[in-house]
Amino acid sequence: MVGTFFRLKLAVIRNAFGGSGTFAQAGAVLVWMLAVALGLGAGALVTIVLGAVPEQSTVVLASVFTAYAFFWLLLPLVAASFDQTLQPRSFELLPLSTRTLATGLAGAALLSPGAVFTALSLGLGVVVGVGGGLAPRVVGLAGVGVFTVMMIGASRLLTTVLSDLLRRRRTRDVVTMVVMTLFVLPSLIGGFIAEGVAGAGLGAAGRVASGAVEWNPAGALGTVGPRVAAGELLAPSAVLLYGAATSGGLVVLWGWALRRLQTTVVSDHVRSARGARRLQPRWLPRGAVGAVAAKELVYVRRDIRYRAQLFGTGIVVVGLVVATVRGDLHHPMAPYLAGAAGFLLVAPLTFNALGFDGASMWGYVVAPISGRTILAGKNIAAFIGSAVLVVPLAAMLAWAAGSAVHVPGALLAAGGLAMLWAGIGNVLSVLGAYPMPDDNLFANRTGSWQAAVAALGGMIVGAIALAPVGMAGLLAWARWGSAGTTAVAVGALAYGAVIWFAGLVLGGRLVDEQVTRLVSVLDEH
Amino acid sequence: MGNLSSVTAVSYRGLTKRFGATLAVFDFTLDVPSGVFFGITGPNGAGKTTLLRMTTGLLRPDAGIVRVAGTDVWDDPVTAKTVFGVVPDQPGMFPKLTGRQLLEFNGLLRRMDPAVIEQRAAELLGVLGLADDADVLVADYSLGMTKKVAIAAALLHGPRVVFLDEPFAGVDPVSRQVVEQILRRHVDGGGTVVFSDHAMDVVERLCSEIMIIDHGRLLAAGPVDRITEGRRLQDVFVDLVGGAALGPEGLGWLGRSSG
Repeated sequence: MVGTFFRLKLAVIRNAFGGSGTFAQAGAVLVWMLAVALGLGAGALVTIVLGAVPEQSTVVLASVFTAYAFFWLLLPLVAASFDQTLQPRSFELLPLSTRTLATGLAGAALLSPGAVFTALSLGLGVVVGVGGGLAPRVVGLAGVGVFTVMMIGASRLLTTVLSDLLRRRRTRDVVTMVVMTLFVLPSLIGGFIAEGVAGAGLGAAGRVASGAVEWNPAGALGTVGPRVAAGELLAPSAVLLYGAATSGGLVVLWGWALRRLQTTVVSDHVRSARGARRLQPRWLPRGAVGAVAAKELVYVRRDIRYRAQLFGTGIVVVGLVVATVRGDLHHPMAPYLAGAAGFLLVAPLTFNALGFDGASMWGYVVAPISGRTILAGKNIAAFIGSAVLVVPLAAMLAWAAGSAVHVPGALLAAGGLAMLWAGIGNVLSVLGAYPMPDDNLFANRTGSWQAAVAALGGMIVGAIALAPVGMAGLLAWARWGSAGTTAVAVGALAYGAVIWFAGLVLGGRLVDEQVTRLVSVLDEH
Repeated sequence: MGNLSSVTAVSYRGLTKRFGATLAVFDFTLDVPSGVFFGITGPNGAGKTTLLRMTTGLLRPDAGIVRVAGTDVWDDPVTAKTVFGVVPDQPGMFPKLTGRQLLEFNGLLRRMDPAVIEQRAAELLGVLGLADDADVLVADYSLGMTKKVAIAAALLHGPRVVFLDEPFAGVDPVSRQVVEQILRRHVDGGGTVVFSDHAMDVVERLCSEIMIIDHGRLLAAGPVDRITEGRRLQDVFVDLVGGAALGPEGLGWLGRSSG
């Protein structure tokens, strides 16, 4: 059955290369070329490091595997990834056991850009970088294979369980905070270990760090090749067996979580208070733009798809708070970090602004409003959300760093950054529109390779647009201090406003022109 | 069917839409008069939904013109959309709004006065039996309730023409009667209802005028009496589009196998 799923995925990929428009084809080619090229590049890097410190190959490979595991778990939560994943929902009505479905889907997931990147880079590192003949390399490759399956199972299990928990009003806020803290924890632990190492030399703390890297389930799989090369047999075999059992267990657990997610309907059961049932608060602008903004603000509170997209923002905010409490942020420019958090909030909300409620797109289209009105309303909601986050964060960071003088500049820069990105996002939202899943919140959607091209293009344009302002700010700070950065921040706000307006006009026009495609692409339910 | 007149609610001229090699709607020319209950019927895949989507600005035609109340839907969409309301076949409403908020949102998008929205929304929710669930999320509505709130949203701004794609699918008999009454009142007030449905008895009972389409082509259009000429609409329909009969030996394995 795994072979059937594998062939199905292969057919989906082949179809993507051969059909559904030039843009989508280009996306498919680009994503796979990037996966292969980056995989080979990362593999070469691992090989170089292993070549430089051959006696440390066990620790190096364990560290690389551990780092990969961290990214496998983190990336699906904080960033969109692009893969034509088979949708579990499509198999709901087939007579497949939970285990068969999960192993089949996991097998198919081996044909994803992330898995190919992982297998290529680690495989290359093990084959070229581990010495000692054929046996260590073969065992090392087995470790890579088990690791890749383990990561597929672990990341799918995490996102599926989170999707289920986050749907539930009673648990979602607690779960959100716990998960965000968990992701900040490694840096905290790393900090403590680094302090220990600095304070006591490479003694106990160093051994603790090394042990943690080598004996966590992911890191241990990286050590099997070097251990065989060192003449060990029992430990690598045990690690491989343990890894395989863990991988199988994770995949089976994922299957159960998936079944539960698909067969349990969770209702928000929101019944608005009679006194507060108005959609549009009085402080929002009257008319259609204000209505769209009001609806978006309600959705940020109620729709779990919006909240899930803000995981990255939350992790950064928790990280900043932790760093402040630890007293790490003494730099006078610290308040400007608030702008980065604001950016991380605005980016996901504007990057695919039409995809959150894609199935409702027709509701906008049949109303007598322009595309510009829709985007403007969504942008205003994102700006309001950003302001709510950035202002107290900048104040906190200024307090921690003792540099209140930088707060005005930080707020202006944050506004400019948010508007710049919203302007680019308005165009991206049309060119790379894709429907956000409403059940498996972190899953990828069919057709998103086209979005990959748009997203990559948008990020490049954004970086190019941002570079001159960033450089001007740094130069001004070096030359004139806070007065200089504040002056540049005023310019940044104006610059951002210009780009936002241009993006709004262009994006609005694209919505009007591509309305048929948008309704069709976004309503993939 | 040549010239447009002031009594024309919807006007099609040479409307054509292809999906790859498939001709969904071909050279469609027709006038739907104002103040009628107009039914669009045809077999599955005939082009009914495609036609309605092109009429309401959801699907851009390859060629031809659609005018609603005299305004070209694709040349001046904003003006055209002020005069009609739409209920699609599967209305993916804004599910995280409550029913009342959904109506408010629709009214605000149409730049209606908030006081008028509130008054009309209360009336519509009451008549449609949704008053008790007005403050419940649309996501928690049943299919029938979703259809009803979609109908309320389409009628809120008092449109001259209402387009409904299979409006009675999933709606219980009591609610269906209420919806029929509301739509009749709309027609009695001078408005036009254009809806698609497979159920011939519903079409025959409600509509004064109909069209039958198949494979994207207009087979018949006009007053029901003239098309049926005393026969049942079901029989006329099958004669026009052709029927497929199942022979006694066909699909004999049905019900005998579990594999």
